[in-house]
Amino acid sequence: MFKKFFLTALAVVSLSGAAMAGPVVGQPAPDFSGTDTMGTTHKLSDFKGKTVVLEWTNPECPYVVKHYHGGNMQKFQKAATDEGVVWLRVISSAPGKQGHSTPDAANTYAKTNNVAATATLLDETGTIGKMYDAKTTPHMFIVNAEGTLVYAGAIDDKPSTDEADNASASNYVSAALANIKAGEAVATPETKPYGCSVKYAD
Amino acid sequence: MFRTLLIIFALLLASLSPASAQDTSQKTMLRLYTDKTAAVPGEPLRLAIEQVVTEGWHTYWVNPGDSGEPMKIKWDLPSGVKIGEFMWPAPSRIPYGPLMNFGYHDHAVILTDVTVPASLAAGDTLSIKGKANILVCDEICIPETHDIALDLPVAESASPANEDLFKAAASAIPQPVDWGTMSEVDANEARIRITLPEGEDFFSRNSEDIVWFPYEWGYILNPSDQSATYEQSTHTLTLRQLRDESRNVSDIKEAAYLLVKNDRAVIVSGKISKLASPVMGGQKAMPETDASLSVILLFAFIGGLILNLMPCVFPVLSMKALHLVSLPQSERSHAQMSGVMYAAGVIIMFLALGAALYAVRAAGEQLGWGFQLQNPAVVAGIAWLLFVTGLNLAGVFDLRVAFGGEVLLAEKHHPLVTSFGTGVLATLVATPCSAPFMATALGAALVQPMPIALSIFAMVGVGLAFPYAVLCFVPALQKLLPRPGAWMETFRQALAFPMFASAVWLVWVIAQQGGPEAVGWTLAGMVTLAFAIWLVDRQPKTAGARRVVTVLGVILIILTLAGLQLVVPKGESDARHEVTDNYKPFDPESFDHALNDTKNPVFVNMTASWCITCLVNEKVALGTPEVKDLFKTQAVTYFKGDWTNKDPSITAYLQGYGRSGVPIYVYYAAPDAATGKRPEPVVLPQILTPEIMFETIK
Repeated sequence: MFKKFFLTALAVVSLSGAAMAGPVVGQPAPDFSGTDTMGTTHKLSDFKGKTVVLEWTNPECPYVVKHYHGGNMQKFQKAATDEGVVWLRVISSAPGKQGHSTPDAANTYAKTNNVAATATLLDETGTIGKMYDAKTTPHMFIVNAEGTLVYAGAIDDKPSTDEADNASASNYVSAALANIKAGEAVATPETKPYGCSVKYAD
Repeated sequence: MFRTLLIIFALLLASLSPASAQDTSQKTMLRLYTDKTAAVPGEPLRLAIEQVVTEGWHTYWVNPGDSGEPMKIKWDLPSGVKIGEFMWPAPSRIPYGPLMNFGYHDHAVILTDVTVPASLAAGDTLSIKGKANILVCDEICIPETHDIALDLPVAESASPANEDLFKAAASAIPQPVDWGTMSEVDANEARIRITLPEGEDFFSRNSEDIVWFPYEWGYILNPSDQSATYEQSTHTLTLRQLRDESRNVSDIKEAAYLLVKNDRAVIVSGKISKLASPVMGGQKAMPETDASLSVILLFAFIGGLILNLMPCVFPVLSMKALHLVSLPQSERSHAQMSGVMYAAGVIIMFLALGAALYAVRAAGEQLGWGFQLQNPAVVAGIAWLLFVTGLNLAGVFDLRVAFGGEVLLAEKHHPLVTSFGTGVLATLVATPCSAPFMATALGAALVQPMPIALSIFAMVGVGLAFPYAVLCFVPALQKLLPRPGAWMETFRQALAFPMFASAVWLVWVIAQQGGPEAVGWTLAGMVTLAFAIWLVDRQPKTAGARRVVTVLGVILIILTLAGLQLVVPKGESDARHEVTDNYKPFDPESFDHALNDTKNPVFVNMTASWCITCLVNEKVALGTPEVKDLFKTQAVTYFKGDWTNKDPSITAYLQGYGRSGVPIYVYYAAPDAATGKRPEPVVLPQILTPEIMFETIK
């Protein structure tokens, strides 16, 4: 009896000492608040009840160019937002680094490239990026209606800068969204993200 | 080393014309070389792909780290010609902000083997062509495409070419080695344990210089600090880094790592396993509360109280209490101070033990509470202490008489010093008894931050000191003690027997650890000690003779203590690996195999012969016919790990569950038929009954 109590007490202490780093698929997604290119503030928790896609991006990164040049990413954005999914692009490039943009520049880019995302968050301090441990552009995350992180990783299975690969690529994000829509568990919940490094401040 | 290579290349460039397409706006330059002047049909040919990278830029290793991409080549080859896998030289760690990449600055030579088919005829030309996609980055990344080509005559025979380049390149390619490697990850940390082979002393020296690279992505936090420690006694290298939870490691069966030290690089690989966070009785432990530390300290206190009743401690304390009784009324004022000093002795000793243990663990030693019983020499020392204390209690000798009353004087003049000493003695004799039943608790304390760990140790000391201290402070309680009389001598003699019994138990432990040799030396030591004491106790009539006898006795005692080093563990090989009964001895490899490659339930029991709880559980639960039958019908693979002597793989397993002492019982149920994954393992209570086993395994 004594030992049981002791062990429970010890377990309590050891648990309280455990550190958490980065988001974990299957666990609640970290809540964040960010300002988009229109000056609107968005909180992840505001979207409870809806599926949210987070896309880390940097318009000048060749891996991002691969997906935007021919409208590949925009196609997936449109398909998702048409289904009621919230799609947030996040730019975590620090001032002076590649991909950092002013709200105006980002809006112009979105217009000329027919970006079909819900909003683009400007995260020049890298706060949201580090909260999600976003490593690459593109790096994709999906949060389900309950606020649980259900996907983290690459956009597709072709880690290259060759636009010709898009035709034969199998897209992990659209597959996961289809799983969610059908009420199934996401079949491939974790993949290795590929791309340029997120251009955080040094 | 790359610098020398560059110089070699500069020289080579003058004499050889490497085949390459060069575009000056690009950040990398690729060149192809072969190790022969001609391709010989049916004979192997080696190809080198040289990357020359503009200063400040870098290209990537096969695992690029947090971002980036290694070079890929689409070959365009004549039929029958094949190009093998790339052999990548060791990369460097290239940090970028909070991220970490693995790649090459300046220069890298990648080797590969070309299959030259026998169908080629002398006089033909072998044309190797390809399109290389290579990502090169500094702050930003540029994907480059290079057309590469090399024409080589086909001939009946060929002479070596580019020898220096191939020699230098080959020496930079890591060699796979067959070193016992096992990696474990939990929620916080990834640990890679490598057992170095006999004679391998390059990686054991200055192990802090080792840098390593995982071939798999997503379970090691790449930018986190690396720490490599080498444990001499087991010839084991432990590499530790923080855990990245991007990837569930059950997807990875085996993990390979590149180990680099100075200019030597090797590839090790082995099973990878995920260790769950501690789970109690099938349920997650309670959520944290503010009360947790006070609760834990309360139980540490109760643990200390219970120690008072242990057979090795009780006699010492009884003597102390009897001493109190025998004090004349007038001197009882000393009692309070004596209680304080005794408590101080106990607590300081506990703190010292805790701090020492904490310090050696911080230095990377794999120790838990109970470590004091993993070294047979220490066990023998404690056995002798118990034996001699027993002899004293039994009345065989009386220290006060033996040393001409000096001790008696000391007791009179420095009663407080003696009380302090009794406290220290009580803690020392308590260690063998505290190990079996407090191993888990004190072991777990050691994984806490130092102030908490030491508070827990101190609190056990407070518990141990408490009853006697209270007795000293409350005269009413002293009145409850029986009146002094002749019974005291009888009682004192009776108390010798628990001491002897404890000593016998320790000798039995030594038998497990060191075999008949160690038992022999331990018992011989007891005889010489007893003889030395008898000698000193003889008390010859003349002062000179007394001095001679005393000196002789002391020399004998010192010799005996020096003989402790003869009590050594027997060879590891025959202590373990004896397969009997229904279990297999625990070793990480077969455990991982059972867990990952079979569908049977797995049960793990970590035990030690000095752990009484363990032995009781094996008697009343695990060893019973009905439980054995249960294991058989449910096809449970039963692993038993013996921690009687130090075993780093068991210590590592215990740590994975937040423990650093035995026992631990963990049940891994069969994989779910639908998902193919095993449910979370269940950690069973420390006191087992057949019912618990049936509930868990059903």
